[in-house]
Amino acid sequence: MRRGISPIIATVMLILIVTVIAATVGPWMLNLARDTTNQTSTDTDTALRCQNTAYDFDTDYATNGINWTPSQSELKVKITNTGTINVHNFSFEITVNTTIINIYNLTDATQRTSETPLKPGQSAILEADSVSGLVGSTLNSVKVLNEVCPSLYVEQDV
Amino acid sequence: MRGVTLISAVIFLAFTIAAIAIVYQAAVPVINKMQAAAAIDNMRSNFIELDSMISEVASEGKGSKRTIFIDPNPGIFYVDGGSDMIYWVYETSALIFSPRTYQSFGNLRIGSNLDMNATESTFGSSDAFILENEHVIVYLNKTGTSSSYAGLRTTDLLLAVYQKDMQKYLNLSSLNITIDDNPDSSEGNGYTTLLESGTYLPYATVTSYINSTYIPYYINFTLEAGTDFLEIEVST
Repeated sequence: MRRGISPIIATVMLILIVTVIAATVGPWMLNLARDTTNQTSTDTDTALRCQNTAYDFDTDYATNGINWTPSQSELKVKITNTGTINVHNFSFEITVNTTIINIYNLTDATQRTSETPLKPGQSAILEADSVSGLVGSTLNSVKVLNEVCPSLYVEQDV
Repeated sequence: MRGVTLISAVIFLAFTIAAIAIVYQAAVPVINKMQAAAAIDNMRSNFIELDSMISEVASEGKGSKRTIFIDPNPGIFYVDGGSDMIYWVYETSALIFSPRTYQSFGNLRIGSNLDMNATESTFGSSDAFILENEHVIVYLNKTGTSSSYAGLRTTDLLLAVYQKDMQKYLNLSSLNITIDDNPDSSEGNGYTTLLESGTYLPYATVTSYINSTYIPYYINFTLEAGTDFLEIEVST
């Protein structure tokens, strides 16, 4: 019968190998766990926030909530926060002449920031900034985007 | 070989405990938030159903009744006969409502930090708007209306502040507001008005319109739930 390494040497080698592997994998595993924990928590917060974020056009205002004056190239939209989360930093994505899509920021006077958000139940008139290039254009639809829950938007045909 | 077996067992146990700890740390806060969201959603449905039942019973004849089963857990369920209100209080760190906001769904009001009261009464011999939260009571002068202006000085707007925690009125020097340091702007004619009165509000605002000879402007006095300070905002 051939003899291998002694049990003591085998044990010491085993312990050393396990220790080295633990020292190498341990920090990586802890970092992975920490990152996963943070990401999961962030994802849950985002999902909850988006689940409770809602706003809609105030259809009592102008035409279906949109006031578009082509001759003056003035675009105003009235929206109401119908959710339970503050919403802010809006922008418009508008479709003109059936195909052209542009994204416009709001004028400083009508923009809602994190310090002055649109609170639940509140309504506000938002006005697009720098739409002077659209004088005489035909407006097809307006999409109102926000930064609180970027995946959420409302769209209204004109 | 006993030693090896023991070491293996310890290592196995350590890895198992570490794995459980990691999963626990990651999962528990998420589960708590999801539970909170589900509890609030469930109670919202219960309250909508309750409101509907109350309306039905009120519209029917004497002796009409309905039965509804509501499990208030988690949270605390209150029935306030004095103010004809039924409410449910639940504390959570999950962001389901923005702080100090509310949303109304018919007779149902749902929100966070709803512990502000805003009423009209008197302070001394003056008509006053009273803003009250858990820490302070603010008395603001009630004068004039939007259709009938009264003489107004900014020094007369804030009548008193009572600190409930210390149980005493704060010793305030007079509040004087000017625009561009122009003394003419601190007085004129105008009115004060309470934007929303009632109980269980997230915040309350008294607006004062001052039509001074220098410039007409508004002063908003806002007391938010849970705070011990008054926000004063001036806008033209």
